[in-house]
Amino acid sequence: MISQLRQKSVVAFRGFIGFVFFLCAWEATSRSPIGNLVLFPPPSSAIQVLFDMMSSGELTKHIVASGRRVLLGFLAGAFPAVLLGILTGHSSAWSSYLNPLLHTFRSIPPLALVPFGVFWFGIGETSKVALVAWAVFFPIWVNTDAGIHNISPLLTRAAACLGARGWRMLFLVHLPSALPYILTGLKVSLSVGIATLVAAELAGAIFGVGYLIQVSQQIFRVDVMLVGLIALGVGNCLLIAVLNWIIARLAPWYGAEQLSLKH
Amino acid sequence: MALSPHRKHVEVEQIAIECRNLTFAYDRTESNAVIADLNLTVTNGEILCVLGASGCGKTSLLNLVAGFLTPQHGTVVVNGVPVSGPGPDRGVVFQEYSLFPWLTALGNVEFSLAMQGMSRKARRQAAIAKLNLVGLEHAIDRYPFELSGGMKQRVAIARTLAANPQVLLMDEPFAALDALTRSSLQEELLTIYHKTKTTIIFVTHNIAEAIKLGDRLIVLGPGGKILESIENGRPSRVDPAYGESYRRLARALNVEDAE
Ligand SMILES: Nc1ncnc2c1ncn2[C@@H]1O[C@H](COP(=O)(O)OP(=O)(O)OP(=O)(O)O)[C@@H](O)[C@H]1O
Ligand SMILES: [Mg+2]
Repeated sequence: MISQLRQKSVVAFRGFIGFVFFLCAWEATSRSPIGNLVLFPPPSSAIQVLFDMMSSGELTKHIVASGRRVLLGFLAGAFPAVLLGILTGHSSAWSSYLNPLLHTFRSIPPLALVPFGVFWFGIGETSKVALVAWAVFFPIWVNTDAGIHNISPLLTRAAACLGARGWRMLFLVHLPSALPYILTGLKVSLSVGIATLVAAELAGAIFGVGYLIQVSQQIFRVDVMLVGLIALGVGNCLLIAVLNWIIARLAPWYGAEQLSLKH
Repeated sequence: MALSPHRKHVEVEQIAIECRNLTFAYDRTESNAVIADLNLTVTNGEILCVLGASGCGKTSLLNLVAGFLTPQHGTVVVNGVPVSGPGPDRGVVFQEYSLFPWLTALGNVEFSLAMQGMSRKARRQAAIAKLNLVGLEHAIDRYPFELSGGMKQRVAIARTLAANPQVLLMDEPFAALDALTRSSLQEELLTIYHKTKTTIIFVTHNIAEAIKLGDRLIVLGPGGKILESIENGRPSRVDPAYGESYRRLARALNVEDAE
């Protein structure tokens, strides 16, 4: 237990060293003769701007706008994706109708749809949320479909001879059995959703982190652009951490089989 | 059910499982039948051990009784009701580990009780009682990945018993376990059997296990033909009847020494 804790803190410390090293190298490069304080500002000034923008509330405004779009789009995409995944995973009739179509849509990079989104839904909130929903839909659908499709027949049989049928079979056996796949789909889709949102905000918006980067570029504020990048990185990490926390609460056994092998 | 004064009726009620002209082929062509025209009855409260070479159709037979497979011809009747699919009147313990990985030991047993319509409140106590029966009261909150192979099969047995099945179908449930664990699970099964008097079909590869557990032992051959059938009465290893049963089974199975 103690040695495990120590190992963990050693790993964390090494990660920290990696960061410090990177920041020092960056700082030194920007301030060296080959550097350029305006086009390639050092981290110290980026962090300075970051704090200024945070205390003025300027940054929060953009983060809240982007976060809201990601969450709404995520929810709007995830629910139909799970429902459709259950349908296509269960029914070979439905999957033979829908899978070719959905796989074709899935193979179109969602970023390519950004210009269409602007066309059809304008540059307001609707287009952002719709694009995120579209982007997160496919990884979640594909994984749910695979999860339902790959349910162990043994578990289905075991449940059937305990008396499980119909809805109870679906909710108490098939869904939990497919949950690891669904959760993987949710994790993957989060990154895809954020990437798509940034592209949509770069293409035109009033608020949002992507918008912040885009307008700062027009006024040559590379330091503010860097703040945007930091916000994206940290925000993405936080969302994934929240998702992991929910997964750990919801499914403590998830990934535990692999973990117990690692010991 | 009221006791019938007619003797004939009583006899019918004593039959727990009856296979009538049972025929089954995976490819639906009768010439390739895995089970061909099998007739077999298991009386109420009997432990029937089924032996046979690998691939002779033991699992297929069990799956037909469980209702996972549908016969081409013939029927399986369990306590007077023709089998038309899986149901909680026939509990199955599988050879492979079949616990729900997302539920704890307790959760797995509670699942079974919930399917029987037991209220959430009553479930917990009842499930703990079932886990007590298999000696697992100390591990109720563990997930399947935290259990050893023997413990998993114990939970599986507790989960199946919790459904209160009229017959228990066990497909080499202890085959994957070491000799010691296997032996203690055999003892536990007999203890449980003496309490519940559930009818059991027990498939095994192991002659000694069959003699230890079975009231009656049958050896299946190709096509599910019954090659040998022994009324056993569970002799002990020092009993001369044990040696005799052992020889007869080994001969039917065509082995020198099956252990
Ligand atoms: N799903 C299946 N599809 C086609 N053939 C099958 C299937 N399952 C089993 N068989 C065949 O049916 C025959 C009987 O199989 P079964 O599993 O009932 O044998 P078994 O007696 O249980 O063998 P073992 O002792 O190895 O478990 C075998 O020849 C096997 O190849
Ligand atoms: Mg078998």
